[in-house]
Amino acid sequence: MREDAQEAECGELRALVLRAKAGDSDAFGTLYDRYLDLVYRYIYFRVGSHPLAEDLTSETFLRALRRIGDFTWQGRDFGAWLVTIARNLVADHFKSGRYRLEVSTAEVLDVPLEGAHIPENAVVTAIINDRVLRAVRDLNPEQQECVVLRFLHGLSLAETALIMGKKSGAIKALQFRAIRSLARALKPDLA
Amino acid sequence: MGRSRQRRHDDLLRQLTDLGDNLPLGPGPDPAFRARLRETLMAESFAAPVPERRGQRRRQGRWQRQWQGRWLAPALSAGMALVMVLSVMVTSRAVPGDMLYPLKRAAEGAISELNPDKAGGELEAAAQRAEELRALLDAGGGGPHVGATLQEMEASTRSAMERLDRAAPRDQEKINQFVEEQHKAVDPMLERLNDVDQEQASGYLDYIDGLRLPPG
Repeated sequence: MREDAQEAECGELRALVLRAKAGDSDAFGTLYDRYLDLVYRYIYFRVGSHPLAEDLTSETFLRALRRIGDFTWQGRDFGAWLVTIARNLVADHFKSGRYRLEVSTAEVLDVPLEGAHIPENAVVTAIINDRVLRAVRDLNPEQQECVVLRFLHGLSLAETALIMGKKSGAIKALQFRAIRSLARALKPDLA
Repeated sequence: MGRSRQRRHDDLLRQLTDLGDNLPLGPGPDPAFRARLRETLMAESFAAPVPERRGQRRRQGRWQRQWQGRWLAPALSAGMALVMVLSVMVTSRAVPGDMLYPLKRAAEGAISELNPDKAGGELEAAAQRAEELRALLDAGGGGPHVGATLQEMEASTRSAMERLDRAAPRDQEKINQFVEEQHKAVDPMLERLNDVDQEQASGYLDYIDGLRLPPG
């Protein structure tokens, strides 16, 4: 059932992309609605400023609109293509390809930790998440980017590989090393 | 990997997956920004032509390159040859005062240097000056170039004669032919020349008449 739903979603996405490639502005608008959050958050995590994130997000979608004729459908990778454009724009902005998670953990964990209505387990989860994110920030840039794309943005191995310009196997190995480093750093919290 | 390490690894993976699934990732894009950018994209989308496929562009580019490769070099060569022919034609018709005249004289000088028959070359140059003289007068001319051309015609003729005098035996038949042709060229011009130029041309004709010896 779940596989059928995924296939249907994939078919719908493919049809949207093909229509957008043919110049259908409504189809591009639907793709925009679908991927704006992903692109915006990716950029915001990298630059740590909303005005700059807005500028770079606008440029990402404008560039995508102009270049959609060049996009070749290879599965569910349209979001990855957009993030690749965003990644290049951020790199151009900073004149450096090194990944940096610019947003502070407090901003990412936008959860109020005070107040009588907050359940105790939510507070504990938030504290653990905070520690995990701090540990992520201490990873090397490649491991950091891999973890953020895979787990915070929920992208697949293939999509992460496309964005980072590596093969899926290399991303798998990078993710493994990143998690081992995180496990080492978070040993007392996870014990 | 030990059992406890494997458990830590799995716990962390679950933790990270939960983080992605449940984490409120801070504020997303502002609704006003979302609407504004959508509007911009729609406007841009309507303004832009249908995106061209890369394959089409590549095929077109390849075809253009092939066409260029096949025709560009011959077309350029033909164009350059045409330009050269036209330049030579225009240059050969140049008269004193024209922009290309110095080029014509330079080419004439170069050919004369290469010509083993120096005297013959100078006689041809004298005939050429007579031709230029006629062209100047046909163009409603006169002016300083006529006198200068007459002088050059006479100078070339005298120089050719000196060379011919040094060579023995003197080619009288060639000289007679030259004199006859110069007469045919210069005689009709006499009445169109001003007094000074007319006197100079008459003097030249007297000179070349002196070169002609009766046959036998």
